[in-house]
Amino acid sequence: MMKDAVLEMRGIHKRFPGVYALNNVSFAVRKGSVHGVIGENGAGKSTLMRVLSGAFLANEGEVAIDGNVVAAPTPERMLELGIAVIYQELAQAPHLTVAENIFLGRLPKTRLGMIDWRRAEAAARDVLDRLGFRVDPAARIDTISVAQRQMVEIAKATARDARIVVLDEPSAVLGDAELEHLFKTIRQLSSEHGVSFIYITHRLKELYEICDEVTVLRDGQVVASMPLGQTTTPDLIRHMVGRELRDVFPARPQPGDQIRLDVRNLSRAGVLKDISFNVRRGEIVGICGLAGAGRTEVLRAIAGADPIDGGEIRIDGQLVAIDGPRRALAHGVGLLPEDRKTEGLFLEQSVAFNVTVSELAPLTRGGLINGRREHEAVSRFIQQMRIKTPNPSTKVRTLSGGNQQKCGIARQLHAGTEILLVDEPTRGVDVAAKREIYDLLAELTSKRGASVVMVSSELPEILGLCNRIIVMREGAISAVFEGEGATEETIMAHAVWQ
Amino acid sequence: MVEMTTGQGLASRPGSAGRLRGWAQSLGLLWVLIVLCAFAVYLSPSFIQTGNMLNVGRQVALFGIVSVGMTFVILTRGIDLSVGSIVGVVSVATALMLSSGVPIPLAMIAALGMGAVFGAINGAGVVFFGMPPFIMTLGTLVMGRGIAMTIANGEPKTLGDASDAFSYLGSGFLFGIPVPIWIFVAIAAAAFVILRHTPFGRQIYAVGSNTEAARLAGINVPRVLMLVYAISGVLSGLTALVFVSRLTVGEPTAGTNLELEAISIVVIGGTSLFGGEGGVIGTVIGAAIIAVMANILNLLGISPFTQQIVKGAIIIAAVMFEVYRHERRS
Repeated sequence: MMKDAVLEMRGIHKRFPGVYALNNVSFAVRKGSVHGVIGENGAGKSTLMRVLSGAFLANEGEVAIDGNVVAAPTPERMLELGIAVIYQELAQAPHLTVAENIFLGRLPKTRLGMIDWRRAEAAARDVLDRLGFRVDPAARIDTISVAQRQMVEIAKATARDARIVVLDEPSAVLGDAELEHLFKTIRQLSSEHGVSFIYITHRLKELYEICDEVTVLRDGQVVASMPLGQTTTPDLIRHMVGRELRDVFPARPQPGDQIRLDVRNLSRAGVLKDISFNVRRGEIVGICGLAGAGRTEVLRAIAGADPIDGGEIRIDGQLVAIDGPRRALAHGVGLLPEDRKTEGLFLEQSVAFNVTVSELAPLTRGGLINGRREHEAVSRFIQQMRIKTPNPSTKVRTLSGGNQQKCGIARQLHAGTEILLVDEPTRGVDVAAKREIYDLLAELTSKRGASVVMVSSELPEILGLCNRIIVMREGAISAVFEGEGATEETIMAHAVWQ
Repeated sequence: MVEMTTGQGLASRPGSAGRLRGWAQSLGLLWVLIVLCAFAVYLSPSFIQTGNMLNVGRQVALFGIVSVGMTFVILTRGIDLSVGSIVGVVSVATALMLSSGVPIPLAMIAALGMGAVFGAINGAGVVFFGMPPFIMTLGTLVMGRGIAMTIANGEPKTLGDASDAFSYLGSGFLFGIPVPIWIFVAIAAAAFVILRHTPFGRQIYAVGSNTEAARLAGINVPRVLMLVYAISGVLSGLTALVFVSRLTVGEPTAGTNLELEAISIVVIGGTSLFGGEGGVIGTVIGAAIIAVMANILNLLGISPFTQQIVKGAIIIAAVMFEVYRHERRS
């Protein structure tokens, strides 16, 4: 047993029908430390945190705070004991202000029982200032950025005097600069105020930047738990996947000479300024930049998801007028959207439904969809792309992030997309699935001659995969590099204002 | 269903039996229906007499046809409150056409066309003006009833000489079974095939599951929405024809509160008000449940006023169950 443990989870078992989500999980967090928790999707991280927050009741095992076993771990009780969980998908009231969210349920009142707005905002500003967050307490939640919302959640936890704060993949929604700021806050709160953090992430690099200890989960079990100084990245990856992962990136594709997609002076008022670039056959072009630089908007404009104010798009030399996603698909241009859950997939529908929905004509005879033909087509994709699903009629909601993403890519392939626009294809996806997605993109370009435009916030994957790299800043292209030889530093230098 | 046992050792994952669960849900509903029928027989053996069964069957058919259209609309996460009023307008118009000597086939086509136009107006409001379906169809509900009352002068309209010839649709028999039941079976079967086995059916589920994802997947969302409201309108027109034929009179009040019956049938049938889930099998069973329930309340000698209270409670219970299911999942 750890001496200065503020939190101990001992022998936690959690079973769901058909799934052993947590199997004898034990780990401890020291006071004032930052404890990383890593593992592939489905390894049990979220379940463990839900047990900690009181959202799930464990079948066996106990949670001890300051050495005292919590008798009835309800969400209310855990909150009282100072545990705050900040989920990736934030639970906020979008129409309320920042101050209201911070003090939700405990807003200061005037003597007449009315809410004392002035005091609430002042108190909120106080909390935010102390953390160094530049967020207007009077702003409505739906008017601020995702990064700022994350800050509001942290402020809320601090205002509640939380002693153990769980951060669920904050880097999935934060840009680099914002993440740096978050780290500063974490360091400050842990060293000066003795707050402990549990930091869930998919990005190993962050572990070394911010964490003191790390616990690795695999298939619902703890496979390693140790101070970070005693381990290396290859070790951690081996623990996570149970096998070695070398050469994370496949060989860069060899593009042909033929220009497939030619974008000229693409503009959209206030969003995109004079975007011009081209993509050759068999080429992967990366677009990077800070959050809000217009990366997603470029892809959406080309895919017809958003209207444009000006500019030309040529495909194989032909000028095309793309007035919507349907027209784009007809020209072989497909978008894998940034948020697969809200824009990409039909979560309540089956794998087969999701894969074939864009192109049902080849499966249709006499007006009716041929079930056998569809089953065969989808099974082929499941096999080729190694989509882990019991069968084609499984609901997509039950798949892991990586497999959901593969379903999205399969839809594009089934629809015959030749110019694939992928937006953050590996967000919220585990290490092994990431690698499979890289392989897929490389294979698409080298074997099928497809052209890929990839937006990503993870510079290593842009650097490792792309033939050319476009850097964006404030809605415009600020630099273009050859993939070979570019570095994170040179890219960042063009992504930020100097 | 055969592939349930294959897969890669993951078959026990929750949700892997999505389609199976769909069937199980229909099966559960079927049990409710069977228990209700058994209860009805226990209350009064006359329940299973042919005369009573045919009455129940007619009831199922009348409410069922509109409910099939409502199923299409609700699957897209919409609602159509105007169905009852469309029945009223088309009823009066059909009576006026027939009594003024318009040939029966022509009058029928015109009636269905009117239903389609009404539906298209609903669809246009939702698609092109971004009206919430609830508000748009609430508007046409009120307007429709007003139009029916205006053209009928507030009075029932007789059919004139066409009366006898036209009564077959609502009162006739084919192979010993009332014609409306045949019509309903045909409509339900067609709807089943459309929803389960055609690209259009897939697109309906796609739009209802996630409208933005449907748009990005290249689905013509406006077209899908226009069509489902038009279908609902056509089926309302068809219901009006059966009504008029059965009563041999065009009532401007025909179909009053029919939207509520239809919505409760669809919801009891397990189609999600949140769109994208459910289907026409549930709606058929739902229509039967509602009709048998009404029959039981009659057999028990419960007053029509009390019946309304019971019916309202059942609708609330069904929706509560649906909301609970939805929340538990997300």
